Amino acid sequence: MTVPPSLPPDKPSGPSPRALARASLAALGVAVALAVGVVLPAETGSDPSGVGTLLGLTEMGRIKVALARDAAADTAADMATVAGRDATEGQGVRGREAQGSPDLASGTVQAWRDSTTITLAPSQGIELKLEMQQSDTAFYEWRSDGEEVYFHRHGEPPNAPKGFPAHSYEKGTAQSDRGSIVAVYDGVHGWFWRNWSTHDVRVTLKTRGTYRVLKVMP
Amino acid sequence: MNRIRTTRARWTTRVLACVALLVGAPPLVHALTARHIAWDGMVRGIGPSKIKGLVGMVGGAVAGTTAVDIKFSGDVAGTKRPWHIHRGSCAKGGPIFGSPTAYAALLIDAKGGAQGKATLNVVLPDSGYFYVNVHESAAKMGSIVACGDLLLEE
Repeated sequence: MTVPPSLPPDKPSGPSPRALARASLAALGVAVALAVGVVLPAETGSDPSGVGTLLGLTEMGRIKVALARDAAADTAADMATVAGRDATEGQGVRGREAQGSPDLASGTVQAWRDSTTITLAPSQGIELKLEMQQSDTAFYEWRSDGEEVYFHRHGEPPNAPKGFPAHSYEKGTAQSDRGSIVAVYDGVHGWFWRNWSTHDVRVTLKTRGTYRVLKVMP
Repeated sequence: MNRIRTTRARWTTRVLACVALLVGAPPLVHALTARHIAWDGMVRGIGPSKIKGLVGMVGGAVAGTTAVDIKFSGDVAGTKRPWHIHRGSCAKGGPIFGSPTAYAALLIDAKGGAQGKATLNVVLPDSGYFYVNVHESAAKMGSIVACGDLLLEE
């Protein structure tokens, strides 16, 4: 009869509690650093660490907050307008139909899908784009509450290399404009505005039609 | 001893990776979010001039070139205006950007308007300061009738 050789006692598998604690602390540190350096500036425009400014996220956050504030103000104004009209005229007009774009062919009024107001300081520029597929058609109307602004309506394919020449639909200066964009290719299509005046200007853009989303370009 | 060395090497690697991430992140983020490069500016008359218009600068059709366009109104019909893009600003001045011969003089039409284009054999810049000058005439290049700083569309 052979006796099996004695085996060494089992070693505990996996990391030790100390290693786990260390890893957890490291993960917590990374999470806090990301929250303070990236998420906070990108979501709120507040940048206590300065990393968000370095990455260009603080400006994005500020624009996001401003857009949310403007959108809330617009919604409140819309509701007040519609409520007032209903009260005085007794008509059954509801919601955004009251502020749609006229469809001349059918004589009906189309509802706007998105409405955004941005405030431009003197010399400041901003770009709002619609994500569209080739041949998609989007209708728009924008208006400045002050002087004329510079606009450049153009489009770019997704992930275009730096310096890729954009497709230019139109550029010039105007106080308002309305029309449509037919996407020349898949990508983002929209407007760059710059306020060349010496006062703040608010530009309100309304859009509808075939597009995935309206977004502020970083 | 070996274990201490291994642990030290691991931490060194981690620290270096973090440093690399911090250093490399901003250009990476910029590259991922980079859009087309374009410059725009408003041309405004100086003194009695009532010129008002636009100037733009984008990448040319041929790689490595820059396309400039200018359009304005409010000028004196029949006059001929040399113009150039310069490095610098209206306030401080600066050298002509590209070859001076690339800018054909603008002939002001009967309505006081003008437009022109120039193709420069230089890469479109993505930083710096630029401005446009409209001169009174070829004989009076020192007299500027309109100027406009350009800004990067970003």
